[in-house]
Amino acid sequence: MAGVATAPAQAVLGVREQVALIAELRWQLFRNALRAGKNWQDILGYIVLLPTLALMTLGGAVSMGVATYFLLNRNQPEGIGLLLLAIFLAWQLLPILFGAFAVELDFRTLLVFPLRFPTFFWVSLIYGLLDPAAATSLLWLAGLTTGIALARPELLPWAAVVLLVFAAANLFLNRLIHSWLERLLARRRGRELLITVFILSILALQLFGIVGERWGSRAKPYLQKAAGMTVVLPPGLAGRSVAEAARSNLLGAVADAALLAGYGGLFGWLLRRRLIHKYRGEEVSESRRPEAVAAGARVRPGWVLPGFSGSVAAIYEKEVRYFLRNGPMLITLIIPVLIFLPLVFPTGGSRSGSNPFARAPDLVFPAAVAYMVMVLSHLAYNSLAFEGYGVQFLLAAPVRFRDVMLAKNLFYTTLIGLELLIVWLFIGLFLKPPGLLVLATTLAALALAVLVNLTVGNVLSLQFPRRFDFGKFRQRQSGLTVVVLLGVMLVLVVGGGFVFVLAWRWHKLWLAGVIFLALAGAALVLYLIMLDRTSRLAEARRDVLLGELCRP
Amino acid sequence: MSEPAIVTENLVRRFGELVAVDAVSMAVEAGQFFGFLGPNGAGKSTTIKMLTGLLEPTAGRILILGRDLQKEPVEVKRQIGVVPEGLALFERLTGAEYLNFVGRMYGLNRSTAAQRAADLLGFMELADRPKTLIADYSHGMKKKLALAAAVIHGPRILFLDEPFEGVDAIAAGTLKAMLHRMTERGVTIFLTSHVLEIVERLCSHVAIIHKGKLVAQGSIEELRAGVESRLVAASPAAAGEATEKLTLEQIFLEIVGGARVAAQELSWLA
Repeated sequence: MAGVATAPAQAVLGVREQVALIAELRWQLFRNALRAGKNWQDILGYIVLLPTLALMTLGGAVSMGVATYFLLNRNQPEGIGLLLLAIFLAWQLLPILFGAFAVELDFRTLLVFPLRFPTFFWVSLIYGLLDPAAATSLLWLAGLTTGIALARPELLPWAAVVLLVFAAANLFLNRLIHSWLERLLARRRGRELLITVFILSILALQLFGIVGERWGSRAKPYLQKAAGMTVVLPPGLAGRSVAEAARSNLLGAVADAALLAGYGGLFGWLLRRRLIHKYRGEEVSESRRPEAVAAGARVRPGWVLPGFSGSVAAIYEKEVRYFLRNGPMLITLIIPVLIFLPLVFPTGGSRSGSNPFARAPDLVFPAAVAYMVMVLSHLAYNSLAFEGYGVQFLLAAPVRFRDVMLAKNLFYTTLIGLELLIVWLFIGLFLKPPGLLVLATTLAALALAVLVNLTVGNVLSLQFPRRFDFGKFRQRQSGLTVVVLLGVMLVLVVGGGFVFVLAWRWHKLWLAGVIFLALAGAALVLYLIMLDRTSRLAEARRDVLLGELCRP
Repeated sequence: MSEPAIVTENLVRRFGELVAVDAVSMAVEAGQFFGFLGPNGAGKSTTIKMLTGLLEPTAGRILILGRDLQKEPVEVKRQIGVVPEGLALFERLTGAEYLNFVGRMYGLNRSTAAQRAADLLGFMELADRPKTLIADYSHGMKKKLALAAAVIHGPRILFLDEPFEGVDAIAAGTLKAMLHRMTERGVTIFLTSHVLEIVERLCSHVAIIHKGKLVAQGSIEELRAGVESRLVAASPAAAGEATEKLTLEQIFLEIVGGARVAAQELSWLA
């Protein structure tokens, strides 16, 4: 370099300029996200989704206005609290449901720039206002305010102040929750915990019907009590403040508004505290303190799988450990039981008539097993999904890929066996254990289904692999794999079910057992032939496997 | 002279229209510490992937310890250790579980695999986190673990893709000493690195690949002599001025033509 040049003095940007710059960055990110890698399916999705969302948002705003208008005209202003509760839930919960697992702008990355804390704080708030759920909620609030203005114009000034405070409290709370979630999602364990909780929550919804039917009448008073308590929450306070003003009880209106402002202040103070921590650079890395261990730690020898080589045993052990450390995958084990619960439980009343198994309890076990096969089949069709960069090792190791797939197939069979045991115990406990003939015929059908799944699944796992990440929800297999999987399921479950039910009705279930056994024998031969070919297939598909599974 | 440890004959790899590796022929003698250099995108990782069986060559032949890699892949893989780009780790295992797994995949019996895993964890100073998953390791720890996994079966050839990147100076010193001892015992080490000082200090021989083609190969002294004579031929006046030996970085820049870029400057930088 010719010499040390004097750098021109840099202007120190004000808060407004910094916020504007970051808003521009956000817009560019959004625009590029819309542009990048979109295919016709995505575009079709947008064409369908965007008008639907617009309709929901505008329709919601109009509904809020109309509902408020009628509530005030019929002298039922307390109902506004319920409308505000709906807005509150939409504002706080929708971003968690739809956005928590998506990657978005991490505010920590902004901290490398000379950013002042007020900018950081304001950016966080403005970002929160641009959230679709927040924008929708604000539009609904505007609709509600319009309803008040049309029905009781004299209420508007007070209602506007209360609803503004309500909006501010919502915004602060939303950013606070987002900030906590962001911290939780920054760590692998947090991400996985959240995914597990999320899936469990969705599954818990399945139980609502059963719980409601069996214990609904007893739970009703408690639920009513809980609903009454929402009045001390921001939507309840805002609604009551407007209602008190409508009834000319100014003292009550001011007291509720003061409490609402207190909530807003508390959320704002907590948010500020949280953001200060973040601004100063908090520790969110995965590294932990070393564990206290004795010097010269011993390593326990690996597992033994009688009848199989050391490498097959090693891969099998790895598969088990991977599965046990994958919360969402572990949950798949309880899905068949949860989904089948309504049919197995001896529900009373009108629903028993709609239960097809009430008249044919013999079919409960085979049907549950068929359902189990449907739920767990996908695991065999993308069996390298969680290997990540580890697939490089599997390809570089002095082991035939046949052994890798064999170990994975053994693990899959173990999983099916374990699930079968759970289903059998469950039905045995709540209904009655299946008879010997039903059990034997079902096992023969299951053997056929597992062998077919493994044969087809091994080929598809190597032909069309898709990388899955542990901490992500809604991960898709390749399109062709899904189509083939559905086809195989259709043939197995519909075909197998047809044979089973026909033989059962003719009281010749043994015949179905013999047919399933013969087919399973043929499937076993085919499976072994195809298994031997997986080594060659893996060699030929190395590029695809590495390209797809080793993506950063 | 004994049989070369690694031989490539007209090795080619195409990705569609792109020729990533173009007719590369080279030989690496047994016991050599061999540096494989090149600018970004030159074809280093593609070559190392082909040499370790991770990628099928479009054309050409690879002989490892006299065996044809394509004809006897399992036998060849038994003799080599690899630290590929991306490290090939199973991140949901602990370090001990992973080393144990790798040892058994290379055919070690259970007790030997466990013993060597414990030894390597101690040597790499990774033994204080027995319950931590690899996913929670720092980058440097992952690198050390990948190196440990590559040597657990006592390979005769070690392929290392950027082995010291992200490893702290103390650990790097230990690893270099370990690798040197391995070469003294006849192990061949084939290494790629962007840090030319490391390559210069460790390697006796180097090859340089540029735009898919092998542009230089030999001992560092041979390369230096070649470049110096070229420089003298181009500018005889400079012959007398050059009193210091050319560094590997200077040799590399002369061969791949990077000296011109290095001389450019951004006038507004302080």
